[in-house]
Amino acid sequence: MRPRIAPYVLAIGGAISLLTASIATEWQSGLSAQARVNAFLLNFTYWAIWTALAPAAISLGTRVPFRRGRRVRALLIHAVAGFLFAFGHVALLTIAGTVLRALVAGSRVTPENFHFMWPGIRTHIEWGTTMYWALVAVAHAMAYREEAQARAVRAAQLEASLARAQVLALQRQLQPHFLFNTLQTISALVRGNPAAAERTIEQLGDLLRATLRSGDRTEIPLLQELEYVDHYVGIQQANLGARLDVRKDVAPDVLHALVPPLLLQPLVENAVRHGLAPKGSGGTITIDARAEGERLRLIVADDGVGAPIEEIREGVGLSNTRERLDRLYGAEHEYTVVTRRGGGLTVTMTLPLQMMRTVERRTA
Amino acid sequence: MRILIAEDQPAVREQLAAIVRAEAGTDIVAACANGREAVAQIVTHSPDVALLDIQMPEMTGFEVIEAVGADVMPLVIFVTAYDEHAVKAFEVHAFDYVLKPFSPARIAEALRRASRQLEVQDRATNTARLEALLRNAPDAPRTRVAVRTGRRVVFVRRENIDYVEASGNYAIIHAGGVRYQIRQTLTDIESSLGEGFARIHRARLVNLSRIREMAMAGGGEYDVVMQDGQRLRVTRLFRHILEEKLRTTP
Repeated sequence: MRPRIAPYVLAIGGAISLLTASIATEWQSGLSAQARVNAFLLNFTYWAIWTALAPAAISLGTRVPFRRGRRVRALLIHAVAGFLFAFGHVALLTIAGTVLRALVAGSRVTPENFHFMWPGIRTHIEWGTTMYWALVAVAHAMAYREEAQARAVRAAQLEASLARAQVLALQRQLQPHFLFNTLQTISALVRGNPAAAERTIEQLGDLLRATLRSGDRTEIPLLQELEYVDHYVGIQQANLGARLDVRKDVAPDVLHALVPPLLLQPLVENAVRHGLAPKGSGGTITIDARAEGERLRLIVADDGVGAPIEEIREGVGLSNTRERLDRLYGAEHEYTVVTRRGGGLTVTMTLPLQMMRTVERRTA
Repeated sequence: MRILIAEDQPAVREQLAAIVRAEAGTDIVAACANGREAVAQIVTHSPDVALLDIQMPEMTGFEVIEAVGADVMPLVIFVTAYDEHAVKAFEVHAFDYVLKPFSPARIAEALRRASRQLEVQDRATNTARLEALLRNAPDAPRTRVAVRTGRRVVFVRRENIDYVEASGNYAIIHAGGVRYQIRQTLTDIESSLGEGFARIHRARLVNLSRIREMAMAGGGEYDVVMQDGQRLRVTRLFRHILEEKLRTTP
């Protein structure tokens, strides 16, 4: 029993004690003054003792809950405890009643004056047990309420952490560096080359839209993914001012093959940022896509500076792509990264070949 | 006011140059496309102010400061696209920083502030500020250290460093038998190299993974024996710390 409950028990118990004692005394008309005082005291004591016992009963109720699998045990414990509480109550009432009567009457307390209430004992025990069970019920209600509150707090915390994760994921996707650098490029182009500024804004818009929608769709036609690549390369060309050639060797029959959205774009981005940008003079990215039986083979290669293979494996762009392929296709995919001697990086992927259905193709 | 621009995006570099030219009393000494160029030009021209982009390919703005040496760096106005962590360090330690996308007015304002600052600031303040910034740079622990010889910059990879020795206000990096002098205190380089290094002497910081064994040197003294067989004395004061680190480092 927590200390903060004690004042409530005391207040409620005290109120009940006073109220019932007063009512009981008023109901019985024609009593002598002495008898009225006795009646009041007895009734008050009856409830005051319950008030004193209540914290212990509630505490026991909290400690021995009716939990799944331990219900019989709880039932037995509370049955015994209920009887003991009821009996203890009668015993305490006997002692207190005797002492009080003696005090009121001004007589002495002697052993002969104790009249244990054997005559009404059955009713007393019945009432007492009921009282005890009522207190156990109160304990359960309190525990349940607390648990519900804790659950609500946990749920709220979980929701908040989920929202944080989503924000982080979106932030990663949007790539603040790229975004702010591009905005600055646009700002730089606005006066001298308005047409280029407009083109860059359009490409950035398309790419942002693709990023924001990538969570909704698990697969898009390769054709569309190649458009995103074009937008990205177009923007980076404006950012870096370097010539970035993209050579696409795509078999016409796989243009409508389905791929996860933003599968190729991060690989191209990786090639531009780590392969070609450090060269300063630009370079070429080759994208090759064709069907091999029931499989789609995709290759992204660059002629950039390359990097030690261990750094490439840790690269964010590449490991993200790898994770997504694992999630989507499991053992159904292959993924290899090869560095060429003298620089350049080649990423090869094979996935199950799935074609977009003709109906979807018309509406897409 | 002589100004250097270091910015890898050509359109933005040109934009910065146009903004600087529009300010009275300014003179552009160099507009650099990458970090290496910036180091060479800063050393050659000793400009008053550098507009320094942080994220440049090959070499970051922080590495430019490290290679040039904080004590000979001009007043720096950092230009950065986005880096939450770096921005925190800038707020505390940088003289000024400008976030992309910026307006011409923001750069012009930074230039005017710099001009006023140059009249009152002494070199020591500038050096202290840049050193503090390097210590709090977000890419610590470093994977490499930028070292300048004359106008050229070489990178020494962290794992190739054997040990670093203090030499006045300089530090000398020993890596594979080659010595590289850098303009940083041993304490600063210790904090930027992070774990995996330990002091064995007041003026000597050693790469734990380069230690082959500890050997008795007589008179209760100990040496560490490096992988190339070189012996370095361990000062009593640092012996326990070293042994503790050797135990806990995989």
